[in-house]
Amino acid sequence: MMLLKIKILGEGLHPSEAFISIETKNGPEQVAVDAKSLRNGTLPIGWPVGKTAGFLLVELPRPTVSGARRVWVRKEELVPDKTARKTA
Amino acid sequence: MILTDREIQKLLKEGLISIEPKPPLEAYDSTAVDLTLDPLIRVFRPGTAGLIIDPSAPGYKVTELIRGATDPQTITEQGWDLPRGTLVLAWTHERVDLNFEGKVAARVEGKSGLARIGLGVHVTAPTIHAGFPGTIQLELVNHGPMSIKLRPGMAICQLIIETIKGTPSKAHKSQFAGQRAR
Repeated sequence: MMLLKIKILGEGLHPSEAFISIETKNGPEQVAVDAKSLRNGTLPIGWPVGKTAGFLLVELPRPTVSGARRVWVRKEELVPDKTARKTA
Repeated sequence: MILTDREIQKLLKEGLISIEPKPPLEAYDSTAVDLTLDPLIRVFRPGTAGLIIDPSAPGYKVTELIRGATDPQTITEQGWDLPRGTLVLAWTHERVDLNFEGKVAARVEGKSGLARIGLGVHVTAPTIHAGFPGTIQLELVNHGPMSIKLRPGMAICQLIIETIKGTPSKAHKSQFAGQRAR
């Protein structure tokens, strides 16, 4: 499993949510996510679901404010999640 | 396949999914578990009626739109009356985590007793995807002829949990085996 680097912009529409920014191939995207899911400036995203030269396609836990659920990010935006439990 | 109460409780006990705070036994029925209303809702400002939203416009950002068009409202024990024909945003009090090990997804649906007085709890977006963590956002709409009093902690919706077939790509390591992010 991997973690996506994020920046916290503030609270979401509800106190349980955090409003964050992520760096994508097409520029910054914002998304409201579960605040408890965040870990030291990162967001768990599972495994990437696609790849191309220098970029990985990741599926976010919720759609971005512009409606994207899967976004391309630079490989450098991801770090391994050493705490994740094993899956298939 | 829809999970029974016993199967939901088994997954909770094994830590393969979580619902916090844990629902009491009376919150279950044979194939669902009730979730409750969080005190905080967001109410659209009266001045927004009649405005036109263009979701296809470049730069459209739904969260910013909602933040600017609504006010937070905390419902007290005395309750808050949802007028007829009104949409408010609400959340479940419970935080749900459908982590991938559980191999389930879910749907949030209304409760029949509330439906019969006109209360809808979502607007065509009931799916809770596998892997979802968080409180569940609801779109409460009063379709009935009378106002409906909302109270914090009331059973507002039911969660129906279903098994998924296979492993989603984001939970499947093999295609990226050996991948090293820098």
